[in-house]
Amino acid sequence: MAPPSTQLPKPKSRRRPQSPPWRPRGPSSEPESPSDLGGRSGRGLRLARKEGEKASGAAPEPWFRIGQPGREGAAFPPGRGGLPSRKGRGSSEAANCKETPPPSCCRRTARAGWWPSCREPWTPAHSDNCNWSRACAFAVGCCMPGTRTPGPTGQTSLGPSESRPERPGLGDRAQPPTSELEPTGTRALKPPPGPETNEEDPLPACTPSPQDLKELEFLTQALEKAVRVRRGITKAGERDKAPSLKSRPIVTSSGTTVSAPPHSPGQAGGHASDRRPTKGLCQTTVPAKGHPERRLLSVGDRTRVGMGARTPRPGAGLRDQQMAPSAAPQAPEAFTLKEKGHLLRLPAAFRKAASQNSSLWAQLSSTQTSDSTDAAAAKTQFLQNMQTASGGPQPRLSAVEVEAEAGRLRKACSLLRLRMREELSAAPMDWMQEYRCLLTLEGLQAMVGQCLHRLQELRAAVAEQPPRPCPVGRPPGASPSCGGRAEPAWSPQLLVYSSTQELQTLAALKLRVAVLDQQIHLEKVLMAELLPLVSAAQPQGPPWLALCRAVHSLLCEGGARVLTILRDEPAV
Amino acid sequence: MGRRRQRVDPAAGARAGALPEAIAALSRSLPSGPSPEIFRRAKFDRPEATSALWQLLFRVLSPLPAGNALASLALEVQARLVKSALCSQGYPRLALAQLPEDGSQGSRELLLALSWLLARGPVPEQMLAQARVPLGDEMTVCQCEALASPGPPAPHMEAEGPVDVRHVQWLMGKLRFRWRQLVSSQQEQCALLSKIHLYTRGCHSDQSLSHLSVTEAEMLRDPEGGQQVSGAGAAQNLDPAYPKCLHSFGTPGMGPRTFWNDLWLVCEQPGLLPGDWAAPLDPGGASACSLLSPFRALLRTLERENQRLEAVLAWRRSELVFWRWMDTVLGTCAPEVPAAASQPTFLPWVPERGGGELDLVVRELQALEEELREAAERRRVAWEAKAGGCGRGPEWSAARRASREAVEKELGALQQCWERDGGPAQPHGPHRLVRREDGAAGDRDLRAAVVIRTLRSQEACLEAVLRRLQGQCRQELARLVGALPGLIWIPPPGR
Repeated sequence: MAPPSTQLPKPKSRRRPQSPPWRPRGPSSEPESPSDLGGRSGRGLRLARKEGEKASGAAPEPWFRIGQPGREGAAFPPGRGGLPSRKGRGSSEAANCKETPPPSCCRRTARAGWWPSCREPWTPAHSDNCNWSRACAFAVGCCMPGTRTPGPTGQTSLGPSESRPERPGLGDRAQPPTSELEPTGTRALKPPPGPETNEEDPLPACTPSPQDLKELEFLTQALEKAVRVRRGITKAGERDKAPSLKSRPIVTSSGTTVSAPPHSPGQAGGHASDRRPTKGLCQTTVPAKGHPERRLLSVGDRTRVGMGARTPRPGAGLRDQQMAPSAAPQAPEAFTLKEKGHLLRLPAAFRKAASQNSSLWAQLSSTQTSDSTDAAAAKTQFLQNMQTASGGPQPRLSAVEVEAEAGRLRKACSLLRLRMREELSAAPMDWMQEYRCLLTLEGLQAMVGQCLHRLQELRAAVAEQPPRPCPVGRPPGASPSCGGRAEPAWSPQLLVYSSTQELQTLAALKLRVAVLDQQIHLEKVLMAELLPLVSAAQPQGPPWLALCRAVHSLLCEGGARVLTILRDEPAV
Repeated sequence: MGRRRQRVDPAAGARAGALPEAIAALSRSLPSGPSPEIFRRAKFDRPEATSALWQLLFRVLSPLPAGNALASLALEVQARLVKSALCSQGYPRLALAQLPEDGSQGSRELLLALSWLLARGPVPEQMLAQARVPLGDEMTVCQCEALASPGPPAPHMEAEGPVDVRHVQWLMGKLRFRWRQLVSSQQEQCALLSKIHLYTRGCHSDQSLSHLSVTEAEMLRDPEGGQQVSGAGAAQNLDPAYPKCLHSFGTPGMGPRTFWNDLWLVCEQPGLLPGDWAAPLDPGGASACSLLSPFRALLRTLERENQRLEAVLAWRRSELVFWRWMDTVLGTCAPEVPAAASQPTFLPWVPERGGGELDLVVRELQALEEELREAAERRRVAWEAKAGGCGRGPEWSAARRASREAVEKELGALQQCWERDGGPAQPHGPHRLVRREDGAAGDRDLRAAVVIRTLRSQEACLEAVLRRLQGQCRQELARLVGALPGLIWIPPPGR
């Protein structure tokens, strides 16, 4: 019987680890308010998991309060993500990472209690840089100049959200370059230069160090401050008409062009909402100062495809800056691929070059097959001459050939296994089929024997060859290509798919196969490493139990689930 | 040689000019375009041709794009890598391995090595194909690769100390997380790609393609090259599941993410109406257009590729002369003394990886043999028990013979799949993705449905292998720990 202490794990029973040695996070990510932490840690974990499942954020943003509870958090209405929520996500992830404990179970009774449910695969929630870079790219990305919503008067209204159209997002997305608006906009505000320069740092960094977190913290503070100042100005109702020098875009290392001044929280929320699917056709006329009207087409019911739609648009702002002045006199129409994509025509010069290109490749393929026999004979002759001139009686077995042969045999092994599986999974209907199945299995067995024989011969041949002075090692990247292939056609072949779903299935399956390949490889490596560890350890005490659980989880469950061990102690 | 020349006397005049032409075509078809003069100097073993030839050999042997940092390696390093690569391919001449690596001598040896490579395979074509301008959206389909790939090389990293198993778990969790990230990002990428194909149908001048690729759409969207990202992003091979992505987890997402941005921009962002790009096209306006414009850059690389393609075709037409000339070059070399005893140093010639790999395959095959023996044994016993009651008439033996023949034929076909050059050519290499609602495909085109079917069976097979391995581990662990009293093991709930 299980003692009461060995109950099955519950979400609430999670405990914080005692500073695991591998903890990748510094103390700066420590949330300040314990109650706040308690409130969101579980959620953070869930969020991370969700993000793993669909990194595309088509789902509504979970809302988090940012690192300084109580100071700014109240200013952000829940559900309207934007900058603060992004930031919040960043810090919650940081906290979350602290929360994600090592699967240590060095307690009296080892248990599976770290996870809310052992069914759920454990995702280490964090420590991957892309989250970070995303978080911070978003943090700055949502105040790009290109995404600013023009007010009804054509000026960029930067005031609080109540002065804006109710769904500013519609206009946002479809807005063409508006850098004309830039100087006229009242951009009196700017963040302190510190964060500006610092915000480049977290992007290239591979793992967010405590310093990065700290810098993010500074950035947030600076932005908050800017927001407060702006609000003050708006209240005063007076705007500085002078073009702000500091509203120039900052190009971050990812190529994101960012205009430094943040928007008010309301506006940030508006940007968050503009990533949602929009309904209806929104046509906005923006009489921008000093230039003709631009029609903005924003097509409704566009399915927002997740992350891609949320990522900061690289260079959009920069392009805006460059193109708007020249575009002004031409008054180009807005163009969306969906509406007018079929009107596109490739330039004549390109068409010519491309068709020439494809015909040349085709010619090359045809000469490949009909290689002139004279030249082929001359080549063979040359190779032979070289062989004899070098004194070797017959060509040696080269490393590349050995590898190719090994690859072929490996492929044979996979194919034979595949065939065996098919044969074993089929249920024979009558004795005839049963007989055939038996014959097939025996035939396969014989083929495996042949392969093994060939392999032994190969090994013997390799061992027999006299050594040669040859530098060990191969040029980097010169890995053997896949074995047993025919000469590829030089002109690219087509892969025809019929629907988005089919393409997605294809890609997913390709990845699935690659992942399985890797999993099998890992399984083999881990088997070789971990099983001796278990058998060598003293079968006593909690550390050993913890080891068993970890090894079981890694080897038998792919690291996804953990088993529970109950100690059935005799009653005291 | 001289005799032969006399015999074909009428063509001798033409041949006099044919050799320089052939060499010029060859040098134009090679990536860095070495001067034809180098070949002539190398014939006379002049030292000034040496370094150029080392570099050329390095380019030919290392399948890396030119922009790579490796291209700027010191000559000594390049020479060493060339030697080792040639050796692993079985290059017969020992003189090459003894050449000094500083490029001071040995240009004739190098010319011989280059010719050896040229004689063995279509080097110019391969190099061109490697660096082909990716106009279409490509996906690498390689049935053989998944089956024959040795997997990532086993890391030979010595741990500095005992590694905590918790750390392994942590890493495993991280890996699982990345896998899922990759999956979702791919799905998204595919959706965007398909959208672009859908929206631009009918735009391509090539009727068989019908729609634009990302590169082409991007070129139209942003002819001026306002953003720097586009060039790098659009030139990527769109290969969602290229195993390399899996093996190098360094910064997943960074590349793809910028690429998505491009995809998204092409798909969603309003741009200017086409017609604007017409302006920079005319020669007068060319000065206004920066050289960095993706359109012009793409056009230029395409034109350059066309030139090289033409050169390769010219080389193919005239290479016979070159090989006759190379025979004379070889004739000027003194034959090598096959004195193995006089060789200075002996190093293991098979890299450890080759040997280890063979062992791995042996183990796999042995495991398979074991499984097959068990299964066949079982079946035979079952069948004999059942077939004992069957009649042994003539129709019975005829049926047996028919079965045997059918199975032999089937297994023979299976064997062809991995033999050297037998079997139907399996789809292999990058394919240009084309969307056609009706799914109509030509003879040479590959259908996604077919690939999906193959992948599914591969998936099932790999899953079975993984499950078998996990079952083994479960048994082994149960054996190790099962005997302990007072402990109850509760496995996690099944899937």
